[in-house]
Amino acid sequence: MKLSINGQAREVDVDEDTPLLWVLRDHLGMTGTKYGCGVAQCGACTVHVDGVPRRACVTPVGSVAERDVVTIEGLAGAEADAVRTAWEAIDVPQCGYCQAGQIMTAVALLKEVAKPNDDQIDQAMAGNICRCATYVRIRRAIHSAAGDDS
Amino acid sequence: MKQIGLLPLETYVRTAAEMAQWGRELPKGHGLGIAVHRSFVTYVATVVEVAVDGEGRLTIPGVWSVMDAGTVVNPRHAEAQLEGGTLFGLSNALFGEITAKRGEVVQANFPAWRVMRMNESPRKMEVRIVESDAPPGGVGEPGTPPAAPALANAIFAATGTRVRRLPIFAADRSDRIAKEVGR
Ligand code: FES
Ligand code: FES
Repeated sequence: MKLSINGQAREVDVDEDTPLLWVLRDHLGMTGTKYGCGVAQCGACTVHVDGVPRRACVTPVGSVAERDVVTIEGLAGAEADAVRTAWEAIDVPQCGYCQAGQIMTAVALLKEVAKPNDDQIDQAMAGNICRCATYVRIRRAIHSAAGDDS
Repeated sequence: MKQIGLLPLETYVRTAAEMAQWGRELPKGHGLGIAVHRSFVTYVATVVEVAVDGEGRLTIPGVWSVMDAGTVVNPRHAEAQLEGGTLFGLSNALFGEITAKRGEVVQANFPAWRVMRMNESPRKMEVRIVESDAPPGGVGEPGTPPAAPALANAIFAATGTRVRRLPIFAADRSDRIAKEVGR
């Protein structure tokens, strides 16, 4: 099966219904995308499919064959740069396990809404669990990445 | 040798209360609760503000926490840990029920085990680290223990009902406080 991951053509020999997450982690060795729950509850496995955040753990790889998949390893652009800078400046991560997913969701939000308010941030980020509870810093970092330092 | 906690407990309680502006006029349905605890040699006092609406829906608009962990090597790290430890404690107090059935934990994954999410976390959170050159205590977990009693006290202040059992919201995932407290 042919895939496009982070702008690169990749070929994998897997069943169509294999979850994209397994293909990324086990077949392609791209372990930046994390496994948290496997049932679309935690957001640790969030990737972008044609620019939209998707849960790789419940996405059959066959459904993304013709699409652009972007993972944390290939995340680029103005929003991604702003998010990385803000995350670092505000020291968001603790254990770090959820953070790839948090960043994927945050960047997708900022691409959609340039200056999200607290309600929009809460709504967009509610699907990404953080067991270290870095939520308050994530919210602040998204505001900072959007250019409003409140 | 110096020790952490030679200040009376009251010092921390007062600091947390000041940070939360204890005594200010609160909107209807809001309540403040406070608790102090020593663990891992470190002292933490926490104030939680809750809001309970007419339907019994609970939100946590604000949390204030002060920590005396003696000498702090990396203050930004300590602040982050205090935030995370406190919210972890609130999450457990609200939802963290773990039960076992025939030797197996029932809550095997997130569908059965609710945890605090972004939309449930406080909009306002302030933490403070006490300056000290006493030998260091822990900073990872001490935020956790005072969170539950501060929350429960805030619920009492807001509703007049004492929380007698934790977690406050049982596995049925009700998000209404009215029928859950005092059960
Ligand atoms: S691993 Fe995919 S949502 Fe949790
Ligand atoms: S940083 Fe540890 S789970 Fe989010």
